[in-house]
Amino acid sequence: MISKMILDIRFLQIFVMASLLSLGVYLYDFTLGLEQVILTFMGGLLAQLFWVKKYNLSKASFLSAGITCMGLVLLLRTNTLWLHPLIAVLAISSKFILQKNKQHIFNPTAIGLVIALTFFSSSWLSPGQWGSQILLAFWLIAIGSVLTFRAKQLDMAWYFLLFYLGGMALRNLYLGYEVEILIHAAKNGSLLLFAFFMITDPKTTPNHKYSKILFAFIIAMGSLICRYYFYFNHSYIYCLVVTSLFVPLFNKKFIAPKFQWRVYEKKSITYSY
Amino acid sequence: MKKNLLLILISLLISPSIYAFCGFYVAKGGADIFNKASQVVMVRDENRTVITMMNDFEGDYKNFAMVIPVPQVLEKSQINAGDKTNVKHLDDYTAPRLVEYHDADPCQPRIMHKFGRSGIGIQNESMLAANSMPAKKLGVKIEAEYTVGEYDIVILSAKESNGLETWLRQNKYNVPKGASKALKPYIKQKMKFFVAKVNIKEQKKAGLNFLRPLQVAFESEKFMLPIRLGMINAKGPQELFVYVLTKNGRVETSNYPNVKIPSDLDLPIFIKEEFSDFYKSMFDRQVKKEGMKAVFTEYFWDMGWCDPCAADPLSVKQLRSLGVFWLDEPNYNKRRGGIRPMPIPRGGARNVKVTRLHLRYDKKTFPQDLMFYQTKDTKNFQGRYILRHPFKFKGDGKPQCDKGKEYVKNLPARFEKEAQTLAHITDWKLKDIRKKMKLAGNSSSKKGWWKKLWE
Repeated sequence: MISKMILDIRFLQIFVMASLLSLGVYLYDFTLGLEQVILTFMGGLLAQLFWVKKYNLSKASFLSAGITCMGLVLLLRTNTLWLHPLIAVLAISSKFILQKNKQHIFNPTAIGLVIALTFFSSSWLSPGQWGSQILLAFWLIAIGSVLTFRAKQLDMAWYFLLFYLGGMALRNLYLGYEVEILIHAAKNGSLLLFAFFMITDPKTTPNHKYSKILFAFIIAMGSLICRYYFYFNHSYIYCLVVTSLFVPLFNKKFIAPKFQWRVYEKKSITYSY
Repeated sequence: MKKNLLLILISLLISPSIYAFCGFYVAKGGADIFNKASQVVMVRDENRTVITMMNDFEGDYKNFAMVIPVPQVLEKSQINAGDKTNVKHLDDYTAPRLVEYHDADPCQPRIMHKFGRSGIGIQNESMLAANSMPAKKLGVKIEAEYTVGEYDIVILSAKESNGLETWLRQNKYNVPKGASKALKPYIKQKMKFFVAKVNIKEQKKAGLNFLRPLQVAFESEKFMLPIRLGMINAKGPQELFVYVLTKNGRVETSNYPNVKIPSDLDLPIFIKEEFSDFYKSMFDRQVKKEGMKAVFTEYFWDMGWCDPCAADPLSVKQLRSLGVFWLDEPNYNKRRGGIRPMPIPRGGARNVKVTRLHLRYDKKTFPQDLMFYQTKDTKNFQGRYILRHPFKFKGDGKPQCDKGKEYVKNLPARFEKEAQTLAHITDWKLKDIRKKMKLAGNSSSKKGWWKKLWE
């Protein structure tokens, strides 16, 4: 069982995110306390345990919960100790409560962040916290590619980045900005984290290739419009949450097999969450 | 004669800068701390913005001019020549500070401490060397012309950047090469240009022998500070201080990493005499460490109090003069009765917070204008450095009790740690620090005697 579990790419994903977290705390002074990290994981994993017991599900789904918690500590900032665990509980619970066709609607990290920013005035995100260290970007892209490729979701991250940066490039060209500005934007850690760890979530994105392209295009254009014309910070997270509502519609239009997390062996364990 | 154009967009400032200490033990000085530094005070709530730009221009005032992109055509009442002492005061108030403690007699424990206060003020300066068809043909429209205090102000709109550059040349502004390229994005975003120069007659009439900071108040959804224009003909990196006054939380940049300066460290006592050198060297080291790609937070606190204070908090009048427009709200005066000059306990609701940001930048490392974002972070932060004076025993200088002996025994290790901390956060060599502290590498004499060999 353990040897099978190790093969699950989500271990690697957690490892990458944990490295990013340590790097961020070490290099960029993340204004994040160890207590906050521990409490987030306690909240998230206990919520998962509660729902797993309630519906008698496979225990392996704790991996996904770990990834959600990691995403929250990487992005969410607050001065309080209670907000992180509360958001972790709400994010995990959203998977079990907000469902359509027995599949959760929202990426738990994204919905958690939107709830925090909308309803709790003590929270904020730090879009500039990652800096534009080229190595960090390279590392994110390289490892993100491996992860998403294995999860057969490489396409989603690349479609999004292509449309988002492409749109930005056209705008910059029109305004007469130098190419350095685009490069600077492409090296943004929050953007890459979003592309490789949130929008690529196979459970909350459409299944068919064409609908994936359309989905990425809508989110990319929506975020650019919200950012430049309505001066919205963190626009892609909001756009992902809103667009996620239409995933069942996409799946109805373009039919493709549903995604299942699998271990890389024939006798794979499949889990619903 | 050609007029020089000060294309600053906030910080086209090439200048020797002046610093002055405030506090009781350091003489007011005139040595340079940060070269090419400029200072901007930004007041922001929702979409209302007031920007104050310091102009300690010290050349021939005929040669002074500056161009700033603004989001709309400003009315005369939206422009003001402010009071430079307020900016100086805000700078002193938010500057890194020293705290001094005197160790208590270990043989007779009781608490005795006092703190000294010292802030570093940075003044700045600006200037730019620079170099003339009818306006309509060039696509340039003079939207408004005013005289505000000692400044003649023209607000221009332009259809295309080459036309604007030509217009500026024709009107005897020495525009640096490459200006049109930098101006283009602002024109495409339909921004206007605020061009100011000095009206010598008015300046004489007012009896001024310096330039007052220019202030502009406007509404804009964009919370940003344009710095690109200022980099066109900058030679080498530039230094910028931004003091942001807001109602709620700490302000950070959303498009560059934000880093706090090292703080709350125990340092050798001698830096009291060299605090400005220390600050400069420490900042140099931090900038190098981040590859000149980060924006440093040096201070974030409520404007109502400070602990310790590098300068008294600003008065309501001073804050209003800097543009804090919400202070006239009746609730504020009723509740607060003006800002108190002494530290008052935490926890009370204040509604002016100040974030001091400090950056060194050039075109390569900061290609984009500074975009700001107000977080909900309310945790105070200051650059604070601690000096601990060891206890001096009376008589033969030797302790009379066991605790005292233990205390004396531990002192060298403490000094060594202070020296290492200092060497770690500045460019200073450990060897020189030890020399200044008269340590002679005490702690390494017994164990690790080889450490000194290859320093």
